[in-house]
Amino acid sequence: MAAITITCLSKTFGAVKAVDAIDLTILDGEFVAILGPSGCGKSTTLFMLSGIETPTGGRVLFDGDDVTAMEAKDRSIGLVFQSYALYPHMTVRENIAFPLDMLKIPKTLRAERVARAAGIVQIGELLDRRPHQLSGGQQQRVALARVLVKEPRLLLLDEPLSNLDASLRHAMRSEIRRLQRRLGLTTVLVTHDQIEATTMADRIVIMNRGRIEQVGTADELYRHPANLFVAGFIGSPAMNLVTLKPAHGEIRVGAAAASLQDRSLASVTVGLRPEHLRFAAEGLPGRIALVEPMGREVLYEIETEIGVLRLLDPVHQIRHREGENVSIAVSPDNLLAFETEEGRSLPLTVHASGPEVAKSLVRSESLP
Amino acid sequence: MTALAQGDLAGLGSLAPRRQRFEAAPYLYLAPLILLLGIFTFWPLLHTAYLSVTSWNLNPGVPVRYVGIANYEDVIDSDLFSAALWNTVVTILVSIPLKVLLPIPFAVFIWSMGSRGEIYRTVLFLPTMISFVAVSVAWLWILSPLGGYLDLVLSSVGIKLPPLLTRAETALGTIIGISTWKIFGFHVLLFLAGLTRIPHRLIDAMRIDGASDGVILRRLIWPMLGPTTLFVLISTVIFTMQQVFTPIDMLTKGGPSNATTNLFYVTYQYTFMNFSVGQGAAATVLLFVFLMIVALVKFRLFDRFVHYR
Amino acid sequence: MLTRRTLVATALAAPIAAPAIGQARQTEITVYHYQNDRRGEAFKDIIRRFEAANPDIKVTDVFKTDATITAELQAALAARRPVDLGTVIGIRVQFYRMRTPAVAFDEDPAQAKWLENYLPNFLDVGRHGGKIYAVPYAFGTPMLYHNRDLVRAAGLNVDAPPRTWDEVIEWAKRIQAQSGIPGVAQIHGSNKFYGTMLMANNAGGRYVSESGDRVVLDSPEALAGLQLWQDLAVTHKVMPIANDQQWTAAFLGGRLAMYITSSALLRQAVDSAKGRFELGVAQYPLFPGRTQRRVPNSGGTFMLFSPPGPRREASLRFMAFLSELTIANEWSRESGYMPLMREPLRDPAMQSYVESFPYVRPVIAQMPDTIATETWNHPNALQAENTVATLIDDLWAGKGPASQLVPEAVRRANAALSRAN
Repeated sequence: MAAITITCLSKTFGAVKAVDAIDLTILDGEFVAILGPSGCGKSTTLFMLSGIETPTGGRVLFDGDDVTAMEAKDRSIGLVFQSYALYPHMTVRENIAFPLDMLKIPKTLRAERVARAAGIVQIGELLDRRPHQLSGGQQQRVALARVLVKEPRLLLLDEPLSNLDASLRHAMRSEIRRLQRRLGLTTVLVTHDQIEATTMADRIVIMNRGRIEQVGTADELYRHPANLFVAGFIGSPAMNLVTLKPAHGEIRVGAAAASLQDRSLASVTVGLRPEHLRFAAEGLPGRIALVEPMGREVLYEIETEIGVLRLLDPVHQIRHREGENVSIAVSPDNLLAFETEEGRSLPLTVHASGPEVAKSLVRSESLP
Repeated sequence: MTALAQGDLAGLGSLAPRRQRFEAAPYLYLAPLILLLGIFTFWPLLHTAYLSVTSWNLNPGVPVRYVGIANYEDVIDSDLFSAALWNTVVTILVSIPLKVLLPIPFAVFIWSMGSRGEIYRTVLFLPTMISFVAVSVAWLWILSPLGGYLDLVLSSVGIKLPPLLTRAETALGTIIGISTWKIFGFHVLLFLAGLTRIPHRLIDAMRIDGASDGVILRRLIWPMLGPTTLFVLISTVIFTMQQVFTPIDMLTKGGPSNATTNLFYVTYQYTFMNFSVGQGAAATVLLFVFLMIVALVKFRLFDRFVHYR
Repeated sequence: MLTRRTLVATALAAPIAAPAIGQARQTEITVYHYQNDRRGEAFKDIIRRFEAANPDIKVTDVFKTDATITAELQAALAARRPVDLGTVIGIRVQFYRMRTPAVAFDEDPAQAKWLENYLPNFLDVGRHGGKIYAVPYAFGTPMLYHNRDLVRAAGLNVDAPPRTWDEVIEWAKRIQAQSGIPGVAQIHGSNKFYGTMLMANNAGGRYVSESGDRVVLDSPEALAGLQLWQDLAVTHKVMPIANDQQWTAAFLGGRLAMYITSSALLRQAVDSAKGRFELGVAQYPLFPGRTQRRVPNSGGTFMLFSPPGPRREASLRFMAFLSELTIANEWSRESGYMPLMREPLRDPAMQSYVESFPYVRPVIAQMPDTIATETWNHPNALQAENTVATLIDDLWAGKGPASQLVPEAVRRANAALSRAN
């Protein structure tokens, strides 16, 4: 098991800066997800951790040892590729045994370890099959077994669930999570899917265009996004973003109001999560433009004076029709403010909410 | 079946008398191909077999005489034929490592260079595009021990070039060498095509598992090249024998001391230089049998080792 | 009824039809020919002049290089394409006589008076059963070409070329010692038939028996000839082992001092040597101990394949034209082939030719010493030829003296001949 430290890590391909001087610390035994859109540099970072890409700048440390120049095979890491990269001409058993063969583990010990690794991922009965005879989920488990058999100190996963169908994905999510917990293996997972990141990882690293936007738990990222990018990336459906002109440093949405620290700002971008908006007797007036039933909840698109807002109603029935006039309320604690240009989050001080506002709130602020 | 009433079955009346109608269309589509095959492949085969038991001199005015297996006896007894058989076998056996195995490391090297390997690929492939006749003439002059290009180069460092094409010990090797040089680039290209089907991630995975380049070559690339290797092997065995006809005819005419003759050349000599069509046909039939044996051996031996995905 | 329409139609049709009608009365003959230097222009010129003088005959000529003319002719005969006169290499004349519809030129002696123009020993090649089946037209005789510059540099008397083989060996050794350039080589031809025959003949023996169906290289004379050939390569080491193309190129490039090949190469040798070295041509050397050289004349002959009728007549008329003294001599001058007529120097044009082109003098001087090339009179001599060619390779490789290797090879060759049908 290893603690990882990355300092000022960069990777340039020609003129393109894929990874731009990032710093990150991962604790021993932690499960970290690197989350971001495609092209943000997350896979490149993963490969630099593994050793198959050499950084153009910066350092990688495993437990304090500088491994930046060390070859992949000496780092004692296990990397599962998105395509699993199973050796098609070998049986499952031979695939799993291969790393042991390279490490020159004696044959008797080899069989034991292969059996153990196969047992962890429960593919014991598939050992004599060839990869092309296995389903996607089975192939992934073989790929996991192949890295686990090495007893690595770091587990790296490149978009492990993207090739699986939806139901399998759900099952594998919990399985990988459970596995990691059981083995206590430091794990870094790369994904573009926030659900994967939020359900599996202890901490999430959000990357965009080669830089780290924010590092934190799912809860931290949700409640206190550091900038517009993170705010828009985390949470589904995406956050409503409206531009407001503060009056004397105060922003107001319906009955909710909060003060900005910097009273000189002419305009700010305010973030309102659809799940935090509620229909109320009084509040921000609006007109229903679109109704989208989503099974468990209903999504409304509402035209208001500050812009088109999406509201997620956590009930199955459709309560309002298109064209209806409604009023929207939000708790002032759920207001988020960002610089309109730079996008950085701005601290807000919430005014004490009046009883009318408190009455209009129904939901508690838990994760959707 | 009980659910189906009689009335339902009556509705299927048009299918009830199940007489197959003869469909002409497939046969019509196949007809041109069958015709071509018949005229250019099967009839000559049968006719050759027929000619092999006759004595004829290609002259339409002269009647054909039936002579039984006399032609076969003549051909098999002649030293010309036994030398040709031996040379053909040697050519095939020596060609296999040179033309099938040696291109692999070259292909892997060029593949590992990515787009910078283009220039090497092109240069290696150039000999394949030149006609074998031109290649033979060029090599004739290069290898001439009397002031040929190689002779001049070696003389300048004091080495005397031996007469490679006119000495029995070296003639066959020289011809095999020339034909290898010519086909090499093409085989490298075939292997490159096979290599592109190997996902690059597999190599990364092996590297992480601790494999050296040698191990990757042996345990990943070589097995995954299996189908390509088999293809190159088959094509080498079949075509090598035929391709060396041109250099033999242009450089050594089967000599010296029958060192370079082979089954194809002997057949040509019998039929077109000597006009003993009967013996030429007998030699052809024997060659055919030889090729059948080779093909059989190949399929028995190698089919097991190749997996297709 | 001669309507206006019919008249107009006829008037329009006439000019189109006229040439066709004119041609319908022409006899067309096909002539397959070859020429050493691959140009064929000189012969085509003769054809055009013949056509001009004989407007009722049209000659279609098919020109090939010597390597392919045999195959072309055979293919044409097998495919029953029209062939009237075809080139057949001297060695193969009897073979063709036996296996193709070739007819004798003097089937009707009245149409073959022109045969008398030829030097009789040149017609021997085509003689069988008292009739002539082949008429030479592209003949040569082996000459000793040499590089006078190298000779001079070795301190030898360049105006006294070697007359005997011993002298040739002496010259070769001196040149080799002085310049390092190899001394001498002799053309061996396809399956080494020509070279073997030459060495055997000059020593007083034969390769193929008079009957044409047995190998007789084991006679003492032929053995001696082959032993000399081995000595050149193995004992005296004056003959580098290579093949005909390499020797020819080496000599023409100045990297071989002496080369024995047909006089047919004369033109090409003169052209190639120009500006490179001074060419010398001498008669073929005498065999040690003999006072008379015995060398074959051989090359391309014409054989007649026409069916009886106007085509055969037209072909014979063409041969007559070709055999006129002036025409034949002109052909010899243009092509560089040996003159074939009796007393060629009767023709003043020939005389001035010899004056202006002295290289051809030794060729003409050698003509009376030539004998007809040997020919096989056996349908399947390939195996035997191959056995003899292997024998020569073995001799040159020094695998044993001629007295040991030759009789065994001859026995095997004759066994193959008697076995083959």
